[in-house]
Amino acid sequence: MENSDIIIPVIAGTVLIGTFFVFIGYFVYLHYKTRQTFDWERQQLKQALLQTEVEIREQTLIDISRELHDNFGQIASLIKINLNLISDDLSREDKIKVTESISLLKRMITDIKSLSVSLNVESLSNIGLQEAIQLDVQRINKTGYLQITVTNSLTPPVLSTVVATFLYRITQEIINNTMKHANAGTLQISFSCLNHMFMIDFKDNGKGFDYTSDASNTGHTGSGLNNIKERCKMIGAAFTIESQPGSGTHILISLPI
Amino acid sequence: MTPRFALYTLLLFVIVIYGFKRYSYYQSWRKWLVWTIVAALFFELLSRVFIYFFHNSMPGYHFLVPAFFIFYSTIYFKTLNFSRFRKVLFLFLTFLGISISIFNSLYIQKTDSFPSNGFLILSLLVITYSLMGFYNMLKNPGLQSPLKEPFFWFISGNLFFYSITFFVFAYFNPLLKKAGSIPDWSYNIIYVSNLGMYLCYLKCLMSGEKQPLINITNGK
Repeated sequence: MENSDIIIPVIAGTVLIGTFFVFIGYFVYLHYKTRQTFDWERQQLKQALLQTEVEIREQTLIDISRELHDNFGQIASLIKINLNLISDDLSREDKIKVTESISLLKRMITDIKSLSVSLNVESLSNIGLQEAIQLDVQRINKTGYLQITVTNSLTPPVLSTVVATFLYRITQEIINNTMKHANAGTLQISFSCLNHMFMIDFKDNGKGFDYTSDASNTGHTGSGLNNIKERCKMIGAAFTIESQPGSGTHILISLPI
Repeated sequence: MTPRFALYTLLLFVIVIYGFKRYSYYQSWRKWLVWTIVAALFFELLSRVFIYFFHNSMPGYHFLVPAFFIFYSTIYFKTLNFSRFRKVLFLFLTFLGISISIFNSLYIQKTDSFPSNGFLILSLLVITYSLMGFYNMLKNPGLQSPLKEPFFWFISGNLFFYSITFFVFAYFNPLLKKAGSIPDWSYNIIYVSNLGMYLCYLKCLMSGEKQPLINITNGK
């Protein structure tokens, strides 16, 4: 075989192998770009699903709230009126029982009203986030399960209804978690503003937990905490948690304003 | 046995052992790949038997080509998403390829010569399917880098080896007819690219998540 016969296949072979590697490199690059687009679309879809889920949940809570206020509240009020009417014709002992029942009913009506307010985020636009949380705190403090103190040393920032709703639900979730899992006696909630950041700080004196270990061992951190994280993400807020067994839990939510 | 052949069969043997070690974790197409490599090893050893008894290794390769048609077609059939029309076309092309390679072995390049025509057609088909595989991967990119995907290594190895094989045979086939022999380095190129392909297969068998051993049905 002559030299010229060898040169052609050598060049062609080099071009072929070179083309192969360029092709693979370009494919990996294209794959990366496509994957990025898919990731973005997946995120968007996830956000949209979460948003829909939140909207459905809020609507359900509004419906329950209305039902509580308009139906159960009204029935309780009617029972109270009837009890007031019949108490005149009763013996002294029965009168005492009816009076006790009336006072219990009064308490129930108040609880129904405050629960109705707490479930219905429509009231948020009227009374504001901090006031709504304050009302919830008063209701919980009355039960005696947990003593919550709220430190509110700032002029409330202007928040959109959506953001206020999210923060309100996040706060409710944290309070709920503290009551259910923390075994805490007190919870401190403080609102503050620093460097264009609106911050809500939660500190309890409960049993705490090993957050990092729980997250790495099980691969998840509980649906409650995950919900809070997802909700924070949706409104662009940062969520940080510090907890150790025996030293309580500290949660900080920072929202740029 | 030459050192070249020893190295080649050793590599195949290692891949086969590795493949069977993780066999239960593989999806069906990777199980077929393991059997493809088993077939390659078997026919290579068979060719040595032919040399020993008939002083000609070529008959073994005439069986290898149709076998590879079946193995590769099955693997691509399982991995590529085809429409009904493409499925029919795919089966038709496979059947045509097998028929041509058998016809070639019987009437054109008989059992005493190397079935380069059969390998040419096989290369053409495998290159086409590999490119379709790349296209499919771009259409459904998944969550991780393609370098972590077993299928990527399978189609890359195939594209590498079979495009070189196609080029070498297409270039040298006419030369072989005229001169009666082809230069040694062309065999070296095929040999090295073949090793490259099997290394890609090894990577393919090593990559990917292990599949669960139990079937979970109806959420139970």
